[in-house]
Amino acid sequence: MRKPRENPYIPFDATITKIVDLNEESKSFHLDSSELRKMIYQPGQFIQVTVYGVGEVAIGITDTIYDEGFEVAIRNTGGRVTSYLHTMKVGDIVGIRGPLGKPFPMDDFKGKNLLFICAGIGFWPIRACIKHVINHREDYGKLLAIFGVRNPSLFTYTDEIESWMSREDMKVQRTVDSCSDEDCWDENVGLITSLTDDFKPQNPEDWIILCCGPPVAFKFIGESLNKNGFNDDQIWVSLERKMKCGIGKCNHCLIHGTRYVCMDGPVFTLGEARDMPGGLD
Amino acid sequence: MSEKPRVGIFGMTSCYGCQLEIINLEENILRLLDHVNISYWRLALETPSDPKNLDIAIIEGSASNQEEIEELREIRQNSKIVITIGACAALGGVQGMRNLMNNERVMSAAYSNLSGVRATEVKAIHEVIKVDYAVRGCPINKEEFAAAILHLLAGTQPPAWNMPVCNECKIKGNECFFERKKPLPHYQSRVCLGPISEAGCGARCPSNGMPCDGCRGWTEDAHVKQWIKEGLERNQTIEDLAMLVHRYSGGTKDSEIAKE
Amino acid sequence: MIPRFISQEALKEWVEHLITQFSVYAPVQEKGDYDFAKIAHAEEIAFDFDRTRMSIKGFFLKPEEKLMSASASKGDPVASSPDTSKRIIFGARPCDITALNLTDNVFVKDFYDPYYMKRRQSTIIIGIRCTEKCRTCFCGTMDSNNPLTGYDIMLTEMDTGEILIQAGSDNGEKLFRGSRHLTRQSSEEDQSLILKTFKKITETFTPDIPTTGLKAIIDLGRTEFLWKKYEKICLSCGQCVFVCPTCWCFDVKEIVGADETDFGNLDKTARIRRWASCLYKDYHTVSGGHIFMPTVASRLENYYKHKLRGIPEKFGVWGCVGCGRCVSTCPVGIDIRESLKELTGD
Ligand code: SF4
Ligand code: SF4
Ligand code: SF4
Ligand code: SF4
Ligand code: FES
Repeated sequence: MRKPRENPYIPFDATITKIVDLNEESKSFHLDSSELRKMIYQPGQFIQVTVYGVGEVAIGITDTIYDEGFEVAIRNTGGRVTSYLHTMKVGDIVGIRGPLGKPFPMDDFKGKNLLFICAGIGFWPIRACIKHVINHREDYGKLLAIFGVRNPSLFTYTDEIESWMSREDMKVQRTVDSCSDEDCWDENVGLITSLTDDFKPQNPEDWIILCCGPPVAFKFIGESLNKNGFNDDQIWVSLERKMKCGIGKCNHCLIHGTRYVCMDGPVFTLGEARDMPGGLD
Repeated sequence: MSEKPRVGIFGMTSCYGCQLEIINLEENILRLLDHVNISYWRLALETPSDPKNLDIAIIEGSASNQEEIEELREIRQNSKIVITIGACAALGGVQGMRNLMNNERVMSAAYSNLSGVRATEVKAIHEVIKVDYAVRGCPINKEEFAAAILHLLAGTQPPAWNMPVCNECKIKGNECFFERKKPLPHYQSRVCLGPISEAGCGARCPSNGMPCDGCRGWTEDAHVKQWIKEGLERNQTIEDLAMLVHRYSGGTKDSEIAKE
Repeated sequence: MIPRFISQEALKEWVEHLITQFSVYAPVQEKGDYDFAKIAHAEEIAFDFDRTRMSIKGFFLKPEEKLMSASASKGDPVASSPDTSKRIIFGARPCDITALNLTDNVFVKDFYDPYYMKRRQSTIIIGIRCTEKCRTCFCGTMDSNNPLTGYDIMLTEMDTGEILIQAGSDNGEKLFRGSRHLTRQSSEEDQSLILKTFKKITETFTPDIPTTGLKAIIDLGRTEFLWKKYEKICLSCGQCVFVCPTCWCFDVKEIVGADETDFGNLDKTARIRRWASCLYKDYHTVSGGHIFMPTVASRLENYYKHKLRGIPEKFGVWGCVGCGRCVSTCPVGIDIRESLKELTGD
């Protein structure tokens, strides 16, 4: 745990121990260090990764403490830091600050049925939730996970998703926005809302929905779920903003003067996000 | 790094002031030279030697005639990274204003005999070849130049704060030349281009008692029209204002605003 | 401490004495305006100053500073330690002290910012109360002309020209202990004088813009028209943010090889923070090009709502102390007093 007077701007070091290609634009980096092993974090929180000499980038935690080691998944956005990270090798050193932000209140969801909606790389933070729930399976009711990406080549952690598909106690649906003739597949084709439109359980009030992806998607997914009887306070989303300090000081992540994504979020209910003008931009 | 990166420094149409700024780095230039092998520099090397197989080409000046355009293409072919230095290279420079004026009149004002003149339309370097990074300013800020080179050597993009000059000006706590209620100082009748000009110079001019002249070009988010409107309200003529906003950038930016 | 009196001459003598022990910063006249500067003699102080061009926030949140240095290849970050030699800011205005109370809160809340706080803790604040309104002041409206804490000593000029000294902290009391001979005790007769002066000050600073309904108005979203209007003229220059005592936006970057003592060492990297402004487009632009607040109107809305809605909610005070610096500095004449009036329909 962070000591009260510790300097919150200074990262601790971690070594890259393994790099895995997730898809053509993303890699996962396995990290290790003694400080990292002491870090206690929860699904929904994020860390700041420093590439010394290049800069810092906020990355949602995609892992749970129950795993061996710690990994972060990073898409190369073409920015200074992520593009440099993609050139780094095993043995290189990065800095870590965190964990930062509020997690999903997983304990409050106990006894509920959970629907996970993962749009694109929004899957990564949700992955931490799914792994957490599977580790505490008896605490939760029915589970359904919906994954959507632009085309089949963009799925990440496919083995893991497939292992979830084979579980008895969990349902998984996948969709792609579109696919060309050569690499098409036999699962669903269509926007993620084409799956949520059909999600009409008997007692919608028994469900909690955890949703991650680009904010524009939240609007459409929200509408689709609202139609099926879910209200905005049952739907949890994770917001993204430009971040610098990650500790509520620099005002980069401030949404319309009132909420800090780095401190009050990144997870909000869809209702809260809608109440902030521009919250879903 | 087994062998030091090979660097060439080239001058096109310009005053060579930016190259002099590099020399003005004094002690620090030696530290920079520790990292590189200068293989071509007409201004500073006795034998400029070899402009081929360069890792970094540094280009000063604008392209103002056909020979220069060809030389630039050659430099691009021979270099892995091309960076430009100075306002001329990035924006066309003062000479770029020629593009905005009646060319014949400019020519006959400058030369008595037009038959040998080779000048073409003034072009910024990036309009001729691909430029990887531009160090702006007239002249460049030598510290910024050194930082850019060091970052390229370290394999990352040079840092840029992407803010208008007002940021650095207020960091220095300067008197503002552009306050609305304040009468303009008697010694000059201009307005300050700081709000629409890219920072990086450390607000050189306002810190030395002059309004910003916009030598680093517009910010990405420059509200030029609003700025002109403000200028007009300060009893400036549209011609003067247009001249100011285009003083360095005639070589690139469309002159729409000047016409409006 | 029971308030005491000091004459204007003795005050200067006291300042001279302080200069022998501390670095003293006070308002001086410079380039047609007042600014805080380190002084060597009490004479340099411009006692007739109204408010300074820049606020005192730069003493604590440095315009530009190195947060840490590290090795590009090995990491090992080392935090830089701010200069904590004892210093005095003499002549801080009540509005600036009120702003300081806010930023103090900001930089300790949840996460402790050692750079700001160490500087803050090593600084003694001697305030001078305003007895008249200054050029652009509306501190009465923003409830900032009478800070209850945040200063070590507060000086108030009485109608008679004598100055009342009040300690605001133990440090302030200590500071005075050795110089009691320069002051005189306040007697019973003085009480009516003190009351009269403070009554006059209170009257001078009664609020002149109604603010009670602001929260409701903002929450109802009755604000769009104003941002749309300002959007047409604002230059996004950010000056209003830099001069504002209650703005603390900053940006952070890593710089390679710029070490003062080891220039050109590519393995040395520094983390620099620098004042920035939430009114800049770049402030909200992420790699890949997405801009979270793409329009000037949306950024102005964020700016105003932070001051008038977000900060009050989080910290219990207005996010504007009514110093009016932004009013003087804005090149296009955007005036927060007018904004308040337009918002409250006054
Ligand atoms: S750059 Fe110009 S307009 Fe901006 S603050 Fe400085 S003097 Fe004023
Ligand atoms: S203040 Fe303006 S004109 Fe002066 S060096 Fe900087 S950008 Fe150029
Ligand atoms: S917003 Fe303007 S008036 Fe209010 S504290 Fe800031 S500078 Fe002063
Ligand atoms: S000082 Fe005025 S013009 Fe500049 S950003 Fe602020 S409101 Fe806009
Ligand atoms: S990232 Fe700095 S305040 Fe949230």
